[in-house]
Amino acid sequence: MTAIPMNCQEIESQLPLYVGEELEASARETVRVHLEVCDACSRQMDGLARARRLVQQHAEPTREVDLWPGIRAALVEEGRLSAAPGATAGAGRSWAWRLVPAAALAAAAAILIMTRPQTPTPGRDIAPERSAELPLAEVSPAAFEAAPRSSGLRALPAGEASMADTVGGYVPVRIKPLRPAPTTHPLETLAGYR
Amino acid sequence: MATESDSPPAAEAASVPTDGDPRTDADLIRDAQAGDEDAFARIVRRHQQRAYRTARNLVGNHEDAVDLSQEAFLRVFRNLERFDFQHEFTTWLYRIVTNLAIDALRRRRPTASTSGADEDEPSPDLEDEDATTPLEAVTRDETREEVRACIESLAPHFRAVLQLRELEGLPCTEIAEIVGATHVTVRWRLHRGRKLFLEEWERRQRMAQKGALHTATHNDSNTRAQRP
Repeated sequence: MTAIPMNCQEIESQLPLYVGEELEASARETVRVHLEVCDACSRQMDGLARARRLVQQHAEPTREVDLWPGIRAALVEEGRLSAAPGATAGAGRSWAWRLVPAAALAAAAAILIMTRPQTPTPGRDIAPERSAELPLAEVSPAAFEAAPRSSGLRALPAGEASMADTVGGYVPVRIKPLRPAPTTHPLETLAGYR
Repeated sequence: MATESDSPPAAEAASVPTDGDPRTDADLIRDAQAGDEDAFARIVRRHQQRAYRTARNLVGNHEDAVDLSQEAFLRVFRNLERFDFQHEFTTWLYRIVTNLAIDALRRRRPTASTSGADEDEPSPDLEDEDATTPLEAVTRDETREEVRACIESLAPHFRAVLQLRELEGLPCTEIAEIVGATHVTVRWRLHRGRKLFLEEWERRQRMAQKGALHTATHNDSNTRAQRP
């Protein structure tokens, strides 16, 4: 095939392939002929070839690595491989079947957590908020223990009680009614009002 | 017009096994899909150097490269069922590694990439193979450091195509498949990447020459000032 002359713009588009030796013979010859007579393209070509040599000759140092132990450990942790190495071939869905025991265990744990009885523990069952509008009163630890959960008793964090309040190692609790005691509006007490 | 006639030294035959196991990559993937753990271990061991080397050249340090290449194989495992047997496994692996590395580079702050955390580490594979004297070894290390800095100055998408072409020896057509771009785009990025690399290289050379000249002048004037 006869080499077809190209202009500099066409040559420039071919230079990446030419410098990387990716052109077929005829196209390569066309570019070579152009480079012989065109200083601008020739200089560009020299620069590209130099960049290529620099990158190739000064590659990052590499080491021999063995990634499999780390990969295997991660897959075991994800539950995708069993801890015992060397699974046998054959079962078409064996990866998935290995997930069944792990999934069953996780489901059982979730059920246990959700159905666990919620008993208040002095000093640990912390009131979610302290509202200035709600009356709070201290009670003894025994009263706290005896009171039903529906009474609205909540233990306050240990940091909120002084040492003097501490009795028998327990932090005193305060009564926090579920709802404020009903109050009468001052205007309603005025006879004849309305 | 472009052909894939090149066979650079770094390029490895993608599907021809060289590790004594007669099974091809596709065979191993089929076996792994069927639950054969050893087959997957074989895939990892067959291609781990390739994955590590690619990551190492892109992210620039050993620890990140190991993490990235491990993560790449984990993704391969998690998506084994989705492997397209019409393509080479290595193309898929390169794509995952390259994407992970580009993401990592984009997350990095610009100054962090030149940390050179392991620049003093031994380099058994390429360690001064051409150097015959300690001076040559030092010069070689300095040049490598300069080359690394120039590469790190490139945007990740330029860096990726440059590394895949120059160091992995992949043809532009395969790089296009790996980075999800057209052949023309890859060719342009390669061209632009080489040019930008060279501009940065020459800028650094000029700065080094100026610095050397300044130091020489400074020393000369100090010497004259200290004369009685």
